[in-house]
Parts: sequence; C-alpha cells; structure tokens
Amino acid sequence: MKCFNCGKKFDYEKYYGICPKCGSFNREETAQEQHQRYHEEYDNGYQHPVHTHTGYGETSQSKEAPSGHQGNAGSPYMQVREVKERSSRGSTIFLIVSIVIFVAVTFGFTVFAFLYGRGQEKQLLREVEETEPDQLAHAVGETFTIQGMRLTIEEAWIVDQGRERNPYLPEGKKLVAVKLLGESDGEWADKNRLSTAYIKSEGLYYEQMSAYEAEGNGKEGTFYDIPLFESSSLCMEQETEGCILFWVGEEQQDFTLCLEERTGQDLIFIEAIHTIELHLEEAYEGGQDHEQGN
Amino acid sequence: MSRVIKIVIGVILLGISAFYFLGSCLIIKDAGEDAVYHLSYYLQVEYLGSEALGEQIELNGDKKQAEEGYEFYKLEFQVENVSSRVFFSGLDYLISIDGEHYEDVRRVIAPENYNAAEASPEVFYSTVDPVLPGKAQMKLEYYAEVKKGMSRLSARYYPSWDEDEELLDIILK
Repeated sequence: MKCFNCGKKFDYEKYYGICPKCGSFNREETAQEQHQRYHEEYDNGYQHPVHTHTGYGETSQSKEAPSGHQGNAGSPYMQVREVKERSSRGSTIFLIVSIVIFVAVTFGFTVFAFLYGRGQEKQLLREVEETEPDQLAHAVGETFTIQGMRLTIEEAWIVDQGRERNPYLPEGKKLVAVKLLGESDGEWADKNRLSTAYIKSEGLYYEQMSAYEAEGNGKEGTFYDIPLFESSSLCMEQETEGCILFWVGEEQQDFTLCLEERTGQDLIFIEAIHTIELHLEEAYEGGQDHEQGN
Repeated sequence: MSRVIKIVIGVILLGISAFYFLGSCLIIKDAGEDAVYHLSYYLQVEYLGSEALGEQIELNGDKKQAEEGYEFYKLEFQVENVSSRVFFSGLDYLISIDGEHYEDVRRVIAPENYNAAEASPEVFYSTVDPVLPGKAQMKLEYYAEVKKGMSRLSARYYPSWDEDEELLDIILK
C-alpha cells in the first residue's frame, strides 16, 4: 500500500494501515474507491455504465452516467486527495510567483538602478558644465581669500636644473618651488583643502608635483629639505607655510600659477580660478649635489 | 516536484529578490552622492583649420621628409575641458586623424612637449606630462603626412573615458 500522506509504500497487513514513515493511518481502499481513483488517474472522458456502489464486482442495477462518473467524493480518502491537490496547486502558484518576482527584481531593479545612477551622473555633469568660474588675477605678495582660507604667494625659485649635474632630472626640465603662506580656522573640512595647483607654461598646463611623489624622494614632508605645502596642510593648522613644486621648461623664466577655488560635495564645482604671474628672477647657480633627486 | 521543494525554492528566490531590492534601493538612494565620485573629465574639440607645409618640415629641430606622393599639413584644434575633473591621459593621442583609406594618412606627429619628458621613472613619473585641468582650454596642433590630392580627413576623439567616440570633419586648405 502507498501512504496517502507521504507516499511511502508499506505492507498494509503488517503495519495495520499505519505508515511506518509518517505515522498516518491509511484505510484500505474499497473497490469503489479504487474504481474512482482509476477514473481520476486514467479517465479519458469515456462514458460507461455505472454500477451502484454496493461493492466492486457485484452486479446490480446499472444506469448511464450523465457525464462521467461521480464516485464517492465524500470518503475520507477522497477528501485527503483533494486537500493534497489543492495544496500542490498552491505551492506551484507560489513557485511561479516567486520566479516572476525574482526575475523582475534582479533584472528590472538592477537595470533601473544602473540607469538612474547614469542619469544622476549626466545631470551632475550638466550642472558642472553650466558653472562659469571667475578668473581672479593676483600679484606676488598679495593676500587673497580662497574657500575661506587666506593665501599669499611669496616667491618662486629654481630648486634644481641641469642633467649633467643631476642625471635623475627629466630631460629639458628644471624643478621650481613656489612658496605659500596660508591661514585658516584649522578645522578638518573640505573647505580647508587646497585643490591640486597647476601652472600654465608655453601654452600647456602642468600639475604640481604631488606630495606623495615628492616625499617618496625626500624626508617626510620635505623635498630637497624644502617643507611642502600639502593639500590638507590647513586642515590641521591655523597657520602654515610651505612650497609646491613644478617642472618647468628649462628655458622658461615666466609661468602662471593657477589655484582653483572649489565648492560642493568633494569640492566638485569650480567657482573661481586664481592666477598669479610668476617670474624666476635669477638663473640657477647650482646647489647641493644629488644622488637620487635629493 | 514535491510541494516542500517548491516552497523551499520559492522562499529562496524571494529571499534573493529581497536582497536585490534592498541593494537597488541603496544604490538609488546614494546615486546623487556617488555621481560626484564617478564624474570624469569631458572634452569638447573644435577643428580650427589646416596649413599645407609641403614635403619637408622642421619640428623640434628635426627635419622630417615626406614620402613620395605625400605632403605635410599642420592641423589645429581647440580643446576645452568643460568638466571640473582634470584630463591627464596624454595629449599626443587625444585626437586620431584618418583618411577614407588606410594609406591616405601615413603618419601623424605631435609636438615633442606633448609627450612626457624623458623622466627617470624611478624618481619622477607623473607631473612632467601636460594635462588639461577642469574648465580650461588650449590649442592643440598635429602634423599629418597626407597623400597628395586629399581634400578632407576625419578626426576622432573620446570626450570622456566612458563616452562614445566623436567624429570631426577636417577640410584641408
């Protein structure tokens, strides 16, 4: 016999109808019930005379069933079968709905989130594009305000020049230092962070040597024993002075220092560009010998 | 498939869906903030004009001779970085110049100072290269060895690292 609850096959006689696996009581099918089950499993719509259910094999009065055969639907066995079928249909519907939700969320939301992010990037770029920064020119020695900090560009001078003396210098370049004095409220905040400075020389722009690059070739915080003015120098101190370094063409004596005044999250918008014309007064007369840039 | 297996699979799928849904909500919530960190440079290039230079030019002290059937043109462009992020990917290959056929343009030479100076890579490695800062503009010039008789070329560039290529029409004088 097959357990109606778990499907385990077992010997009805041996276990008295109690399933050894799940413990459900299984009543032995009557001939009628077996007949009904065959109908349900194999019925192809064929109509045939029906026996009254006095017992299978007993011939009694027969009549034509109006449509198929309505067996003993109220028997406990049939009730269990109906509950199981309803439950099976429910779990199938649940699985299908789960698959639909899974596909919709994983593909739909992922694509939507990606497109939304791209939209935000495009919108930010449009906002940045529409910003027109002011061009503010200053003179050497003048103190001006940038992002709430007060800066003064003191002077510029040649730090190193000539590959014959220092073979580690870039071809056709000399190293120039620009000295800055700065004041701020000393708070660790974006507004006290100086953006990367750059120069304009011979129609081209060059960024300052990063403190990381310079410090890699000097003692901490210095290069050629020159104290460096770092991006976050005014985030920690209210007053500081130091230098930013650039590579300038060997023949160049004049260049323009550019400092960006920025605002917004991560200083994304350029509000103004402060420019200072610098002139290298004296030709380089040589300094300390260097083995590896320092 | 048994009822229990269907329910278990359904619950697992719903769990993963919930995880994705929460992740997507977080991405959408932070999209504005993240856009700041994804913002890149954005270049706009305009073709200014050309000048025929003949079969021989002198560039950075070097004489360059064109092959037979070719001549040199100086091509000028105006480049503007309309974003607030710096462009630092090299000016010498910013614009590609081609003809209709492969042999129409034999070579394109950029001025020497567009390349990094010959720095010692162990000591100085980045800041000798020219860049184009945010909200800045500059003129670029290239010297192209072009097949004689050509009247137009095309220039291609990428406005940003994640944008499609832009195409410019170059009319030779």
